[in-house]
Amino acid sequence: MKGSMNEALPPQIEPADWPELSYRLGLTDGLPTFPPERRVVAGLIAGSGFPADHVVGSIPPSGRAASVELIAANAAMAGCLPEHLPVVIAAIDAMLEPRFNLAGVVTTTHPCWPLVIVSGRAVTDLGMATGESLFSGGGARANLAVGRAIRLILWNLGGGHPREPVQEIMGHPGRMAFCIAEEPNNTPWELLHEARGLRGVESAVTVFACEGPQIANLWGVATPSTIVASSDVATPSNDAASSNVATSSDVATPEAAGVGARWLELVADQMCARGNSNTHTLGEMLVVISPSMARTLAGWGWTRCRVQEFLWQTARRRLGDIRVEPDGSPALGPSAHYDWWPDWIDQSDPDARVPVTLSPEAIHLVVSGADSIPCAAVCPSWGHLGGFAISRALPAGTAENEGRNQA
Amino acid sequence: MIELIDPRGSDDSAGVRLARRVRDASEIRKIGFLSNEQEHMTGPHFPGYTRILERALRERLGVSEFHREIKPVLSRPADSDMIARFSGYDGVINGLAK
Repeated sequence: MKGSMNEALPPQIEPADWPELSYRLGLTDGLPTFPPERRVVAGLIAGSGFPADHVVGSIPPSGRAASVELIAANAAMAGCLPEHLPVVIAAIDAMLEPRFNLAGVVTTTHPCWPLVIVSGRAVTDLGMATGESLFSGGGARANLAVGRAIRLILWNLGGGHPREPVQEIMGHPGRMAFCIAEEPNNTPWELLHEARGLRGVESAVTVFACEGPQIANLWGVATPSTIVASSDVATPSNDAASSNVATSSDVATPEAAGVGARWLELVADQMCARGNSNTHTLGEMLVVISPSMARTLAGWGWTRCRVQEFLWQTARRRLGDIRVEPDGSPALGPSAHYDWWPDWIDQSDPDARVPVTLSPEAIHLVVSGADSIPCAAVCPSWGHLGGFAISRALPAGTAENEGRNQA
Repeated sequence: MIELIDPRGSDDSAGVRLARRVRDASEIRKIGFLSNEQEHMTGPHFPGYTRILERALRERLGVSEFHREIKPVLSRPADSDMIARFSGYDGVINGLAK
């Protein structure tokens, strides 16, 4: 799919010539694109709030400079509108923070890819989908256009092409477009960016390199009829700080507390599969909880922090099951030692319970998805090697074109 | 007609380029090894594997010069000083033992 990468792009073409030209020059990963027409790009730049020649940074692995004009050219190919460009620029800026290790994320053998998570008012302003089919765009132009723009920027400016140099073994369908939005209103907890310290900010973008969603369906937990009627009582809190304070009196009944814990145990079980990188290297993980599940948990006294703490304590595996000798016995010798684990994990104890993230706060909770049955999705990450969550505030008033962005 | 902007920018702005690929193995005289991991006391590790590779390359292809570097962090690119020490080599083999 690389095409003739060194062939120059003609300055002018007939519109009908674009599809084949874009494939021949390797300007797309295989999906069709819009032409990066100068007139359209100029409109996108005008929506960015930056001059065209402002350089956001160098995009690895090639190191080409990402000016706002070039970001806008790729965004035009993705079908972005001018109001989408601040989101794209903020996401790229976040990915270029050294801690994110974008070069590693793009080229690694591991199937992680930067997920763009939009939270706050911009979700409504841009017409982003938060309901059904969350991870596949939800039928909203903004979700897919933003995700697609990121892909094309990393393709055309970063040169992140399979094999040379991307070494990803299995691939990740999210590489084509990986952007979700957090439910801005119908949530009992503070928003992702608020929980990550961006308080007083209307809207934000968080990038986090992760695998595709792995679903935790809440099968097999008996729910007594006595608690069903009182379960869906929580309302969105206007006081973010107070929403994180839990007391035992918040829990409606012991039965309700038990159901909530059993649900979260199912999620925790999905988080600590033996083959995922987090189980072996910790790092960070994303857990998306559907609005109805979040409201129900909140009604039973579960705060965001309490859920994170419970998942951190529960999503653990026995060290003797994580590292094994050929005969299946625990691998405890020096050659099996994991240098990257913190000292508080006793690597000589086969019964040590090892978490999947470094801390409860490293479990990033997002409330989104269809507001129907309770459900959760788990996205493991690249572990301790990079792709850590980075958040950026978005400028206020991201869109004046509400309603234009639904596909 | 529509006027386009090349989404790749100018080729001059690329800070990193892929090395030229080795086309004829018989012309290889100098090989570098870039390990993503340190040498371990026990168990598999890439620095140990490079010693086996060196022997095979000497015997089979007549490669005569070798240079080894170990990255301090496996997931991060090698820094420019480390890359510069491979200058003049015909190829670099990068790896990690699993």
